[in-house]
Amino acid sequence: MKTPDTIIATSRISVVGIGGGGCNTIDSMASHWEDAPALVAINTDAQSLNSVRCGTRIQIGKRITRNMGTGGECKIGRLAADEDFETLQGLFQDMDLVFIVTALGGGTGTGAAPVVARAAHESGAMVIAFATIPFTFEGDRRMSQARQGLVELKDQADVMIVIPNQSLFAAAGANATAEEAFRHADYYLSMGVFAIWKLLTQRNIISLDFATLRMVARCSGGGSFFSYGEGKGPGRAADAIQAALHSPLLENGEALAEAESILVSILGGPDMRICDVETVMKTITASSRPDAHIHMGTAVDNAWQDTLSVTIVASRYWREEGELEERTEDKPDPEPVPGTDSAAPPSSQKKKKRKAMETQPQLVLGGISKGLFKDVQPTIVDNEDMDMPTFIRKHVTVDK
Amino acid sequence: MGLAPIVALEIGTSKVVALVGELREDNHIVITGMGRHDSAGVRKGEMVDFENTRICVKEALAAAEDTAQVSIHQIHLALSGGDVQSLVNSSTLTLPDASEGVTQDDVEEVTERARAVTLPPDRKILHSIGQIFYVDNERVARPENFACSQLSLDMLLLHAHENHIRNTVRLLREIQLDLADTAFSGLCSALAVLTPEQKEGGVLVIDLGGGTVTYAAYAAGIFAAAGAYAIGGDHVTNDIALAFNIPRGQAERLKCEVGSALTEEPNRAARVPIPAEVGYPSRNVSLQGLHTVIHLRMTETFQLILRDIERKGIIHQIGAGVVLTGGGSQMKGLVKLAERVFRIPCMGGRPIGFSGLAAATEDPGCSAAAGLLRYAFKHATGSRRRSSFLSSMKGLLGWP
Repeated sequence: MKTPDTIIATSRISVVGIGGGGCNTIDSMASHWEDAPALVAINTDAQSLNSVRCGTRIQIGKRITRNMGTGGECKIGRLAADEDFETLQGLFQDMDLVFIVTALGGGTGTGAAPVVARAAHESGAMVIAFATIPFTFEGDRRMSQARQGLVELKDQADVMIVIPNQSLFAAAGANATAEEAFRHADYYLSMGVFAIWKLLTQRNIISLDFATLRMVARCSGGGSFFSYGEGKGPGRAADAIQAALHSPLLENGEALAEAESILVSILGGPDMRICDVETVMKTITASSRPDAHIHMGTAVDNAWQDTLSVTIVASRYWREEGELEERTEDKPDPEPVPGTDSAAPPSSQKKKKRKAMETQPQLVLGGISKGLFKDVQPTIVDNEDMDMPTFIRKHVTVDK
Repeated sequence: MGLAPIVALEIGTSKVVALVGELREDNHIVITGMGRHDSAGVRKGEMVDFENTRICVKEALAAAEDTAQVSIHQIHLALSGGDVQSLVNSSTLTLPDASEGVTQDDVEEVTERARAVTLPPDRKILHSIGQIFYVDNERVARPENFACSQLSLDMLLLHAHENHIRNTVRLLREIQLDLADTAFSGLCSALAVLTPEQKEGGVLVIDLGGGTVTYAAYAAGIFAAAGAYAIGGDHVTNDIALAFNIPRGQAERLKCEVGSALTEEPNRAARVPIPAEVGYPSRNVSLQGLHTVIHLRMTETFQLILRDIERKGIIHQIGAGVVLTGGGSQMKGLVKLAERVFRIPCMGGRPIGFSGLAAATEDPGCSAAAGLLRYAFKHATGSRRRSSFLSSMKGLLGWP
């Protein structure tokens, strides 16, 4: 039995697009969704911000950028977000769930997104981040900037979904024009957010509630893949799952085969049948590891008559909560979050929630120590401990 | 001939090498004996286990005695500690009578002054190498008999932490070996692998060892800078072990067999199987991930050295490029990576002007020990001609 509070109100969900790429996606969502949650566009560049058709537009770092954008520098993006940190925190007051959508590689997306995520996190919200990483042809600098932003964002987000542009655009088909490909990419990202949002805000036949999502967020690790597919007509379930499964976003199914944690959202019209759900889930079970933790939910939307979509979030690792608790026991309580009323019960609950959420990124770093060099005089250069692996210090995600 | 064979000993992090060499015509050195033993008890160039190190040294020396058919009582020692630094100190002597030529005493005096720098109490001077004399601001290699009013000298001083040598001396005393001299292994490697033309053109030699990386730079034929960091091949292995959670032995094997310092290998999607070991399940490792880990560590290491060379203002005098030597220089893709970081031509280097045991002359891992032989013979011949410290130092002027 689900208690009513496992459903969250749309008013407690916010979708934030950061930087040029993120704002484009927000714009696309705004034009497609009527009952959308609060859509927020954040950018340093006033001009591009004005073209976004959404309720809340926030220009950050007016002082540091002099209204000129970041010039591709993520440091400036970060400083810009720092400058308006209080505004950002105010934005996330009373939010339970914040989606962050951003394109990493540029200045604002890369630099500001981690700060925005932190603001959301410190306000007590759960953060699900969708981040695209640049095409390889965009060059090393953007790529390494994106990688750095990715790790910083990962530290702040509860679920981090990484989407390489290369795969996203491959999903649009080889013959797509650039404009079609971009529209397609925005659509994909929108649908990822949409599917999770619908799942959480409706009471459905098979619910996936907020508590489950939180648990999935806590226990999954190692970076998440995201895929989306839809189908129409009598064979819609089979079409949708095949499209999602063979998407370049899931590395043509390989990412699913290795994932220990899989979250599935099935969205359909009022005419969704149990056998549709069965078709989808059978295929997923057959394509994944036998020991994978699979969580599934369905959502119904009247506009989806005769149509069905499958959204998959696959994460590489699953760690039981018990494994996490052991490590957190000796950690001090996190500092009270400034700006929240610590006497009120909801905020203390938030604090607890936050503590559990913090464990995941720390667990990874705690587990990776200096290995061979733990007992010898450290090699310190410019206050950096060179015995720590470079990829950890530089916050680079390594393919495992 | 005339000169007795000399024994060079290097107690490295990954191996202990003892070479026995004889000097022939034209400064050619024949290596007649070699002993090599895997090192146990040395981390990052520092002895951490006295007893194990003692056994390794004894084994290596015994093998060298065996192959060369000599009995070893005295050795030269290469110092490869990661804390060696260099500085240039200048001194000026005003001569009372400008019409008289510079005397031996004047040279001695200006040399003493150039050596007199204030170092932290625990740091000792390892080498003091005269770079160039100035007689009334005119550069000369040998100032004697020049008439001038001012005599100046630029001296390169290499200094290291005194603990570093103290432990080694204690070990040698315990196995009743006489220590004839010590030399910085970075300098030795340069002596082994460089041609006079390279030194004239300006060159940077980087010796990548198991626990440390040392470097030495020549500009216009003059020994211009040297240094070391306690970062070596073990760091690469350790990074790999921690990145993929595999045993260090497997990490070392991966590094040597399929490792690359470049990330754009054609078979980037390939995976390498890791057999199961106690406590570790069998698994696959992403080749792309492996190369990323190595790439990041090596790039960082090169950047540290580049920064040093830039700070010392000699990067633009390195016309003949960078020579990579040492055991770690055999890593695939490393030369190309070095070219990207330093933006000058790079190449691998192994001992030049040596013959005899191919195991030593063909191995870039033996560069330092081989170079130490050259250093030792240089001093031996120098001190036969003139006996004082000063004259041996003069032999180093405008090295070789």
